[in-house]
Amino acid sequence: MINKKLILFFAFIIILILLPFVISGYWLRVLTQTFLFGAIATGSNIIIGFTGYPAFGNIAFFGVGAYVTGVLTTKYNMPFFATLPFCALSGIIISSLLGIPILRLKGHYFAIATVGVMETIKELVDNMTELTGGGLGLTLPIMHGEPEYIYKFFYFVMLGVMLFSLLILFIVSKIKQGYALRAIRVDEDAASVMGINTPLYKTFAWAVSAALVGITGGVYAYWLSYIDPHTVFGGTYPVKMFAMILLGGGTTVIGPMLGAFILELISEIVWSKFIAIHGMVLGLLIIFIILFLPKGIFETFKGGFSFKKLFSNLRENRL
Amino acid sequence: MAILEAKNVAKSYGGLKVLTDVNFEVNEGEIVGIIGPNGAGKTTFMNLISRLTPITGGVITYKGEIINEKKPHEIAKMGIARTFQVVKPFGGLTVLENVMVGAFYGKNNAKSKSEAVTIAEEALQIVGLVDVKDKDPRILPLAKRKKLEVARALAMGPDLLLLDEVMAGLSTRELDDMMAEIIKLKQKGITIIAIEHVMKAIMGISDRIVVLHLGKKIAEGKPELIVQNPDVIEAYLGSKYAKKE
Amino acid sequence: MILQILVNGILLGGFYALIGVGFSLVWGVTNIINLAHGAIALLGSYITYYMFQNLHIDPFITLPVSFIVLYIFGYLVQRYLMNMVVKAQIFMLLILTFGMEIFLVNFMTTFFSADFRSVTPDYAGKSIEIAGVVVPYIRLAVFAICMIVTAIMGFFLEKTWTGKAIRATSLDLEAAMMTGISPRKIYSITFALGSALAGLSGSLLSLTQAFSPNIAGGLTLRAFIVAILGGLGRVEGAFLGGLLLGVIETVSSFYIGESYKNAIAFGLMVFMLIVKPSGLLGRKYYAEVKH
Repeated sequence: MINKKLILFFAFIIILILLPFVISGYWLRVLTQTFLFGAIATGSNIIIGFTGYPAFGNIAFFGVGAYVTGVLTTKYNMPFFATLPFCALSGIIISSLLGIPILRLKGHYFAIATVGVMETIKELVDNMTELTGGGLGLTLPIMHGEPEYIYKFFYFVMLGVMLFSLLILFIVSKIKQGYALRAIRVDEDAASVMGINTPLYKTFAWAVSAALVGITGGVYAYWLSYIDPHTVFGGTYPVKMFAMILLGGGTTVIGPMLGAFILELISEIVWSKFIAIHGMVLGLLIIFIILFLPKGIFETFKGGFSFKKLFSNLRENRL
Repeated sequence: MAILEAKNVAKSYGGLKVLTDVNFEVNEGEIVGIIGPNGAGKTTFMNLISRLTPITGGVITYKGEIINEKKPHEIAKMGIARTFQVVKPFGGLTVLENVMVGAFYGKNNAKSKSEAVTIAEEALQIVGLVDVKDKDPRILPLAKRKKLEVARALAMGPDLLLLDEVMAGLSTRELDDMMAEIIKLKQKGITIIAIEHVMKAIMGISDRIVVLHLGKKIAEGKPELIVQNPDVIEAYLGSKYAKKE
Repeated sequence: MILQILVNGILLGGFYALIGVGFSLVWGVTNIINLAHGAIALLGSYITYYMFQNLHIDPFITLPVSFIVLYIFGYLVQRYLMNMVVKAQIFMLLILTFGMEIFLVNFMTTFFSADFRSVTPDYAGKSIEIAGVVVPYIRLAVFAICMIVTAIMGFFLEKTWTGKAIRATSLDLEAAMMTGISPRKIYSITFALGSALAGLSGSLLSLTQAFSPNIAGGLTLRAFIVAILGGLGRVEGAFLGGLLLGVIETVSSFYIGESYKNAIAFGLMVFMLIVKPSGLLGRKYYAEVKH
């Protein structure tokens, strides 16, 4: 059973590695975007799904990472890959400093506080005009080479970031600390009297998430070669990320990534034809997920699809 | 020798006094039962020992060390384990993995996974849950979930075990079973403080009983003497049974 | 000068109190953080805008229309959508309302366009000057209406049967159910009231500033801060929180800079959450009770 899943997973990865040699242009971009979301959802899942802290504003670290790469490549002429450790580091520093006060909050108080953090950082970046270009945005050095080569380059880099996030998530799920995080998710008091230093572990979880999301942001900045505060901080990113985690299942390692694939590909295939109502469909889709699939598509339909299962959430949670 | 000492312990929320001037000692190897009607402050007292709520007055000493300012996880590492009245197993983890968390982080502080598994299996053996170790704990019946709580605490390798109503809600047979379990733990050298509503159970296993009423200690002594104490009958049995009729 | 700034802050604060009171009420009673609150308020703005623009109806007369339409809207949303999953984990509901927000904002962008609109009756721009402080009539009227409605809300919750049932539900859902209160109905009425108050504040907003679907998030944020400052579900708290936010925002915009307005508001919120999540006036901290 486990082996079958493992084989499927590696087959999937091999297909993704071979794909760029048969597809091109548009689809390479779409998949790169999908990997981007896969990386964000997977990275954020350590704090959100494993630890149970709905870090809605985790995208803050995406934006920070994007700006770290942006500023380091433009103002300090640093090569792209060399900036990525700094993206991770900035995420770790900010989350550790903020973690101590903010992770004391629970449930939606925490969720909203992280949004507050995100918006505050956004405003700060917006106002640090000399360094970040403020609202005008920041143009990064463009990579040299054939467009096809550049597409492939970012395809593989983004795939790499996503798989790296996945690997970290997998490791966390296996080590001692992973057990502590899941204990915290269910019952923080019980976890603490069992000897788990809950503030420390929560901060650890958030820092790892922040680092991974930060790296993703760095790659994003170099990929698009233009960033501005309003696109990299917030927008629909937080809620899309959350929807992906929910859709795939937040307690699993691979769920958020699959959630990202499902949502991003649906988005691309179906909605690109209806640009005008794209946002409305996104809203409806999120409502749909919360109503019918909050446990994730795989958990809900374990052992086969049926319409009855689709309504089990409503039966459990209606007033 | 006293393993735990409470001196003039008090707890208040704003102006509301939940506990006032509670004094008592627990000796190594003893089973001490704490009883009292609803709202007597039993669970609050337990929360004070496990440091989940701040102590507002007095001193609690464990193994000669004042623990007033310690954090819950530090207490756990010092060898105090507890169960909760509301049983909430860690869902998403199997029964064995639940107990492993205790082995990883309690006083046992298992360094490797295999070590944690060994400790956890031993704890499950003691409470008799080995046969369900790979199950999801959420599907277990209440009696077994209570045992899982005990196993989780045991895997921490405690010297002092606090049991918060582990016998409430059990059938007579399950109750006898649990009582035997607790006696077994005592024989292993673990000191136990048990909060209980079920009089019969607590009287049967305790070496000593402490009675709390409205946040104060009103009596202390051997079980057979406690049941004859007029204050206790008045406060505990009187008020409790009067209400039920 | 400082007097003028303070007066501006207080006038703005009256509006914040109104937008906050509905939000706070919904949160306090149903434990739902309605991230669509700002978007619902904007629906009210558009009602006023279109009635004024197309039918030439005085904006103040559109207020009851806005109130009633959004009351019905809110009732239906709670009854047939939110009640379906209201017992799920709290942040599921947070995401649900965010989904609603995205839907509504995009709906408005699609059908009403993303352009900034404003409602300008002939008496716009007229003002009164007292001791060197300029007070535009419209802002004064808006302030007065906000205060009156907030006060009526407080009266309603204190004195009427429905109000008492709402408060009972917010204190203890199960106990309220035992006394025969139907939580399904109370939740729906509460959310309906929250939406209606949002709509009303949106209508008033259209008179004092230009609006577009994109400011929905900013409005929700301010409602949130007011609720946090004042304590959940408390009318007098929203009153205090609104005025405080209005003054802080106006004063800090003047001394630190307009562009830091949001950062300051957010900073204030995060600070408040950490230091005293139960609000200035204090109230049960929900996250401890149910999560």
